[in-house]
Amino acid sequence: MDADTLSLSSDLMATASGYCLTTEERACLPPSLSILKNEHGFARVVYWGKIQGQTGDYLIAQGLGSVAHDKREASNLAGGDHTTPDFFKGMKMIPKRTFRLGPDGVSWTLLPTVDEAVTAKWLGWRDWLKGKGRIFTPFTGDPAHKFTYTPPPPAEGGEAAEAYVLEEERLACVVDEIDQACSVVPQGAYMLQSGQQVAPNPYYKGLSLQQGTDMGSYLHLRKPEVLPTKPISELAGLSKTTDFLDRIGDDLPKGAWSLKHDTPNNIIVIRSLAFPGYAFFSVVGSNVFGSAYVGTGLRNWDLAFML
Amino acid sequence: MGDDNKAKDIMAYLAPSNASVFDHLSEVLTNVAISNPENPVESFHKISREVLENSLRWTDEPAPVKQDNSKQVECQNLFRVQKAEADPATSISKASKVGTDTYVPDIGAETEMLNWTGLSVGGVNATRIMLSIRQLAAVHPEFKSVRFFGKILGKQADYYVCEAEVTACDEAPPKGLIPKHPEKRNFEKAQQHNRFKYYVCHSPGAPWTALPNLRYYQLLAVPNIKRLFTGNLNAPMATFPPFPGETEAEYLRAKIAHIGERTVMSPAGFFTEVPADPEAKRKYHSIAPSPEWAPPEDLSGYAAEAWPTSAWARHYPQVPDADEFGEDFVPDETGKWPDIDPEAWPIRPLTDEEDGPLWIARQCSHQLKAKAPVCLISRQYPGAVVVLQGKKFVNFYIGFGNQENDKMYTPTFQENLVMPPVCADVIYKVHREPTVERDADGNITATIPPEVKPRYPLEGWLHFNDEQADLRDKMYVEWEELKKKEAEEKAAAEAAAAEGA
Repeated sequence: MDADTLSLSSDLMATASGYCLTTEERACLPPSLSILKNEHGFARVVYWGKIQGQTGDYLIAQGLGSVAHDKREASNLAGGDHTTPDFFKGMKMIPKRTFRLGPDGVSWTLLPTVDEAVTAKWLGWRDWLKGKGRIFTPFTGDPAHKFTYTPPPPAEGGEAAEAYVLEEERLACVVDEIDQACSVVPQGAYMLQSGQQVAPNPYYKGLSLQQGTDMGSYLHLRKPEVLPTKPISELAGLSKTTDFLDRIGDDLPKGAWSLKHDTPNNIIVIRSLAFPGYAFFSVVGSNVFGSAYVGTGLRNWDLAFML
Repeated sequence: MGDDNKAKDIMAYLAPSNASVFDHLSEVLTNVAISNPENPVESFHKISREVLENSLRWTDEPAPVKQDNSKQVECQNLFRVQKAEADPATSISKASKVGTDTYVPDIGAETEMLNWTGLSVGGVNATRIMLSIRQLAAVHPEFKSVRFFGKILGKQADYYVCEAEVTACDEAPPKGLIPKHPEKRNFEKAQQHNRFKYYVCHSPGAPWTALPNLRYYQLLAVPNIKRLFTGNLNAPMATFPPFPGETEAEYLRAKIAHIGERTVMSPAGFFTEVPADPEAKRKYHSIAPSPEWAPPEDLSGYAAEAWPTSAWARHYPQVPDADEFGEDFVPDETGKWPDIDPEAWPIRPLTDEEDGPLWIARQCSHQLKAKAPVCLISRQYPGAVVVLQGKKFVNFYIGFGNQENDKMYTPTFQENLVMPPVCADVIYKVHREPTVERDADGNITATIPPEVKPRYPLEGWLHFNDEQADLRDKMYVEWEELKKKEAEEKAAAEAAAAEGA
């Protein structure tokens, strides 16, 4: 949810998912987020959500873009079409940095970047846990907690050393995983600028009721994964300015997103069934929209059996 | 050449439609010349956009569809101020209808408490729901009390669930069955649960629909089933493991009972058990608020870790144990069956070992520790919460209805289920009259059952046992043939010997 309209959208979020900001958070977050924005020079700061742990919760915020960058002209090659292989490779997403609320309750700590090494450690821990017959352990609430595991012994023989993944690193990986899988935005809210740069569309006016109740009007704000794999015949028919992001209707399993129009509040609510706790809302006819995830980070692996 | 292409690419990129870029640019320049804006270079893109939107009809506006306003109207009707009825002769307004005895809690205040935990429907929705529930209570004076149970989320629509406590179940058990018949026990064992009647609606202000009563086998089957609700109460319910009920309404009722049994709780000591007493006309066990309970005065001493799980107790009706009727459960000489005890309704305090890992105990604020509510958030049922502040506590559930554990979901089978018939042969049997032979007087001498010809000829079909003959059977058959051959040869040899001799 955008930090500027946080206290307004908290009630809409409660309608959408049932999780709202607590009274204390609603009072303490807006000034805290605007300090974050000014200190780092972000173009926008977004309250991403909350990951619940045993003894404490992690509030996550993301800073997007940078004010300095937006003013510069990006003058590289423009054009190219969907069917060009470079089109999706050359697309630049908005840079974002993820923070968590520190233990003092007001300052934000940068989460570790999710690079190859960190992902390898996290996946190694997850596989070890699966070997034990479990798919999840809750976060403890202490960022320095070490989740220890024994990776499979290396191919050359010899013993496998005890490895660990820090809770902070696991948190960063889980936030990134949910971001990649969710991150719903309405069509038209983001546009492709001349430097193949994805940017928010200042002229976005909102979706009408008819467009809003159609699942095809919602896209994933991430580097497209499904679109480049589509056949060229389908890609050639798409319009480059509006259809450059993955649609949520293309996610597998089919039916993993539930869309409904909450009539008394006049908002469209989209909930993820694969990551229960993620909800997106958009006010019909207006450009107010937001999304947040509140949950333990557990993914619903049984979704295919439940539909 | 490359530069030329680049320029063309840029032109193509700037105008994906078929309109000529040259025309558009010339219109923009005309616009700039006429309107003479202050900083034409900086706001060039804005001017260009305005020209585009004014001149080119490049988006087809769909015809405005008449919107269906019924849900908004229903919500609005909750707030309609009733005109007081006036007596036509004297024009003194009569008093409004006598208020009901049904206890309706202050849902707005409860939601304020829930806002501290982060799990609530929001203050605005809570006001609407409160009015809607009060309307429901006004129509049903037989309710003792109502409570907003919570919200169950579904794929196409959500359910707002209201729990109403009634004095006794409104359905009678099936007649004409012996007391220990499973169908009858199926009904009677859920008697404590059916003291609660549930009503659902899809949006605040919509008419409430009653959910059917619970049956015992549904309660047994439902913990193993993990399924998403569609939002349509009449949707067919076909799951594995099988659920002994046909519609989503029955599944919803069973799921609500299951969630209630696991998560609805009160501070230990708040409720006491009231045992059944035939003399005092209390046929069933029940619970009642205890007069001796006192809330903890100052919660600031309770850090989250120190507020123990054992300070809470579950007070919702439990899942009854299975029946065990001994050999001596037979009618006596007069034909009267022995009495079956009414179902128990124990208060079940939580234990730290069993229930500790399933709940997260939290104080809802970092700063105002003395006044802040204390809450228990369920890990097993994401969305279930119970919060206590001073003397008041609230139970609430908002979620998809399924339980989470840290393992992959493995369906397990439930034995002893009474299932409705699902085989089509039972429903679609064709009845043919048997042929009845009568003698001269009209008495029946023989009844020949109807001959049903098979739908396909049976010649040339190998039956199962022939095709799948066991190896031992095959060998036996071969042995038999060998034996027969030997016997024939022996017979032939003997005949030859007899002839020869």
